[in-house]
Amino acid sequence: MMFRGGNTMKFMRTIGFLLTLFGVAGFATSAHATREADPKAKDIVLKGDAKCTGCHDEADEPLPSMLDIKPGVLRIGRTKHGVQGDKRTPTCTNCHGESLDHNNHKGAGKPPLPDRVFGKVGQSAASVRNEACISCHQGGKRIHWQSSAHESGDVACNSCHKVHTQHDKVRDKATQSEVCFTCHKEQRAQMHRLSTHPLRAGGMACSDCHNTHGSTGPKLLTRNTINETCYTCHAEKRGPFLWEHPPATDDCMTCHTPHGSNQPTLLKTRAPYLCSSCHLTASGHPNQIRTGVGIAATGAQAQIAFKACLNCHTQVHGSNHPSGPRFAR
Amino acid sequence: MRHRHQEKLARNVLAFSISLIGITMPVAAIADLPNDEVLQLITPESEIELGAGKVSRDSFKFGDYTGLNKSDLHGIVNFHIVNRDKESARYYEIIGRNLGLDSRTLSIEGGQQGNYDLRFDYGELPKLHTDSYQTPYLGAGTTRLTQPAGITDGANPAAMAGLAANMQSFDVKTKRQTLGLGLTKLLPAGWDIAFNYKRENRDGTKLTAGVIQIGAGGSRGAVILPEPVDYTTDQFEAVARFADEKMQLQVGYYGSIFKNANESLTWDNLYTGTGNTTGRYGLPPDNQFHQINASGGYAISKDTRLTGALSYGNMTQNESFLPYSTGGFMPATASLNGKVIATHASLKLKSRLAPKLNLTAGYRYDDRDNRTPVNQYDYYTADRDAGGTGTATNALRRWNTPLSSTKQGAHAELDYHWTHATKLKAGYDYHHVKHTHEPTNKDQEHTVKAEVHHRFNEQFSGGLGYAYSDRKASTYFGAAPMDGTYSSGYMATLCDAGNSFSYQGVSTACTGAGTGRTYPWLEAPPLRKYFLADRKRDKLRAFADFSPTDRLDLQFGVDYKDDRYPDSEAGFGLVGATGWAANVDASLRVSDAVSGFAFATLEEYRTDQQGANISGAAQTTGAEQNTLADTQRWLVSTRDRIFTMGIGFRVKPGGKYELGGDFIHSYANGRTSFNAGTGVTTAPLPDLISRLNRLELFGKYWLQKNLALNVRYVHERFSSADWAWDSPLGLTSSANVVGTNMTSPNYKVHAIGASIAYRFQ
Repeated sequence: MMFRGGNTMKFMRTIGFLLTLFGVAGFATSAHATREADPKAKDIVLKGDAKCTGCHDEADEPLPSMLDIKPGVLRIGRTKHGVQGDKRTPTCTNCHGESLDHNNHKGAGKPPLPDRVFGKVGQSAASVRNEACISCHQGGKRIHWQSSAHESGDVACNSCHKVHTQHDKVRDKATQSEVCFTCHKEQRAQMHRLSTHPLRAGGMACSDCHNTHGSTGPKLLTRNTINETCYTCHAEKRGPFLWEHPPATDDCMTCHTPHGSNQPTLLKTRAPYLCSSCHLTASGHPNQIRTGVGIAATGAQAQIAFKACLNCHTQVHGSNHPSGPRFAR
Repeated sequence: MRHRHQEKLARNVLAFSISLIGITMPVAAIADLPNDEVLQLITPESEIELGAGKVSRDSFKFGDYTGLNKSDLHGIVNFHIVNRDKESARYYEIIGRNLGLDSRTLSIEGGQQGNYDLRFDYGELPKLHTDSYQTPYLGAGTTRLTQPAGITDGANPAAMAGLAANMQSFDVKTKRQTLGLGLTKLLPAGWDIAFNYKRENRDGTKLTAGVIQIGAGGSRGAVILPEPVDYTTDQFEAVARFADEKMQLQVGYYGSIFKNANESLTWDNLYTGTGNTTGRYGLPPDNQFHQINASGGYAISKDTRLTGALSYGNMTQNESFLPYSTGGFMPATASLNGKVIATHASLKLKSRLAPKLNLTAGYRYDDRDNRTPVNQYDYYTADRDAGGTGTATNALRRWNTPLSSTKQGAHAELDYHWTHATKLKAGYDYHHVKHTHEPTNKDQEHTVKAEVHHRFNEQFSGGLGYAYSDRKASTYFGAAPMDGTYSSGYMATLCDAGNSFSYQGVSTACTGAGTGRTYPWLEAPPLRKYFLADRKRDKLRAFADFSPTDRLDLQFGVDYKDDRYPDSEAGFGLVGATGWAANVDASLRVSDAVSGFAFATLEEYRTDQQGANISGAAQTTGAEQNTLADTQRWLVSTRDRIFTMGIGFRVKPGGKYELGGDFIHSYANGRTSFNAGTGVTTAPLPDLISRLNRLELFGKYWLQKNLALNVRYVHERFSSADWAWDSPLGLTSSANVVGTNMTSPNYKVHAIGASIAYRFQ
């Protein structure tokens, strides 16, 4: 059984005991006016976190405590990073650095910043911040992080991820795109067009196609090629077909645009103009321009009305019909 | 049948979800919200939200992907239940969303952190294409569309007696249902293994069309049809991973098996003539893809890292062929035995050459080796009983041309931190492609790019980037693909006697008369297909971020891309494609409790293509030699201009209530314009329009510390106009296509929802 209520109660009692101890310890050190860490302080969430919370949590100290300054940092206890039972779980200094100057600061003034700062004020360089995460999260889907477009663009892990909060928006399919769109504004606008993938509805996430941590594919795609990525959801277009339509076999993006289009089915341009940019003959129907002349109550041209070229050539992604070399069967 | 199965499955999922809540509730009651502030901060929080919602009217487009297409009362059922035992590291997390709608999702994950994880996912996603489509057929949604007794065949839709009276509404929609299972297990010495399985069923219909022969030859008639969709895709993934400080490795297998329960779609012929009484085309064939892959990273030194990947995949497809026509006549081979080997290799190096200088370099190789057998097919243009099969001298004898390609790319980028405030980047990309059965054999592209980022001060930073690409293809010969797919006898008929051409390396005499061609071709020789043609590309990007105060952030950005196809400028085809987008963003924190945002984006995408009206021998000769008079030439320009803006606010005073609201406006205008010579007749097309206005207001009122009332109101208006479907086009407008009475989506809906959210720890 995955959940054991008894353990939870035991854990809560332990926490309560520790906090009581902590309160006593805080009272005992209240005579100090400086912001030293209390050597008797107990850990709250992480092994060894007393080094940090022990100073910041002296509730009866005249100076503000961690609860006053940044109570949110304790919310790491709600996350996977707050589970001490997992031997891989880091402590404050694993990410923020040993921060000896900060830790050994004496006096009433503001201490120097920790070694690695993730906040807006005095923020460490992206590469420095990323070191903290990469030291544990370098395998699997993050193997290609270094040399990825995001890494070389100085995007830090905490540019997208929130570590001290239970709900990390970027890891939630319903809210992920909000995070991505803070930088990718063109894609945000494209999501409101006539034809889109279901990102706005929360039915799909950017990470369904893109591995933002680096990949072997172009545009940080999850798979090696554009088509291989598209086929994960559109396997019916994979083939191989008897009759292959070169642009479809080569690259779906020859005709489609992925994030949103003013044309149906995410097309860059609609038929017949998308088709006529590659097909112009001296006989048969691709031998002339199609215009508003073909849109009429009577005598409308099949090559422009309704599905235009696709009124007949429906199998543009490839046909497996022995009579399908013109993609009509 | 499938629909009933789906509904049952959906109900079961919902019941299962509710029972899970029931199981966890006693736990919740034990935990409830702890009083101690620290304990509350460090203990995971769960939430269950129950309520009801109502949409003011039915609307397919509004419900597309969301499931909010019906005006019926719907349930609001969401929950997120999480428990982490910090000592044993055991955990579970159950997330249910939109359980009262067709867009419901449920995920259950649990295990022991640092040891193993198990995952179960279920999701539904409705794709609602249209509810204004009408069809004359009985059996819509199945593989057999039959003609009602009230419709009499006609030479064209207007002559089909009883057509209008027998048109019936049919909702064109599909639903995806996905089921996922996953297992991750950590092993000693830095290894872990993961297995993932995903089954996706897609069921419903999509809009397609069917074509059939009218009479013995030449004219063909089409009907816009609902194509049945009953796809199942199974995806398997198994990986073993290793990671330590210096090296990371991953080896794995990925498999994807696609099955289509429907082989073909058959419809009764509504057109008179000597053709068959039924038409049929093939539906997507079953296929498989299996891939083994490996990737890894190695830290050569503290400053240098090498990563790479290899994969080998096998795509196969061997569905039994349909006959050439519904009259029978099977091809000599029973199935394709299609096989494509997809190979990938890549290598990347990242190195800090000096304290301020980084190098990124890489190479990639992608090969598509199509090993599908080549066979002769004597096809029928469209379904009919008699005549027209392939001969040694007609276009109906074809050989398939399996497409293969090899793509290679290399890149290098230097990244120099000139000062603490200024960063410079310079890079070079090289791309080389070889392909078969195309007008070009290969092409190569060089790209140079540069970027500068500068932080002027704590408040203001900006950047500028530019890239220039030049793609050069080998000699373009538009008729080249014909060699592999047509007979020499047919090709000989395409050019005037007295000329000769090379057919698979053999000099062959032309046999045609009055064709206007000196060698066989179908596509006008000056035409350049844009994805193969020489191309010059400019890309420009500029941005500025301005934070005048801690409370206000402003961002400005411009992206510009311009593709030019110089050979098409001299001939035919896509001449250019230009796109740009300008963005302005502002976010304001009025106080810790009140914040707001605003953004606006203006985009334009424009294409220009050249062509000519070509008929008769003289103009054909003119097309071959690119000497056609200007009177026959034309230019089509398409331009999509889209303006999107949004504003929103959030009020979180930290007391009893929270408020928020967003307003989104998007207006898209697609214009098609023509510039043609005097020998070409044109008429303007109306603009394509889509306009979206969406107002969303939401609020939360805390009835108790752990109990909140959520209310939400949405007003959305959407209007669109599409000349391809809207009036004046109607059911019988075209002599060759039966219309559908379909119209562009337009709606105005109000949606409200109220729910109670209970939080516990």
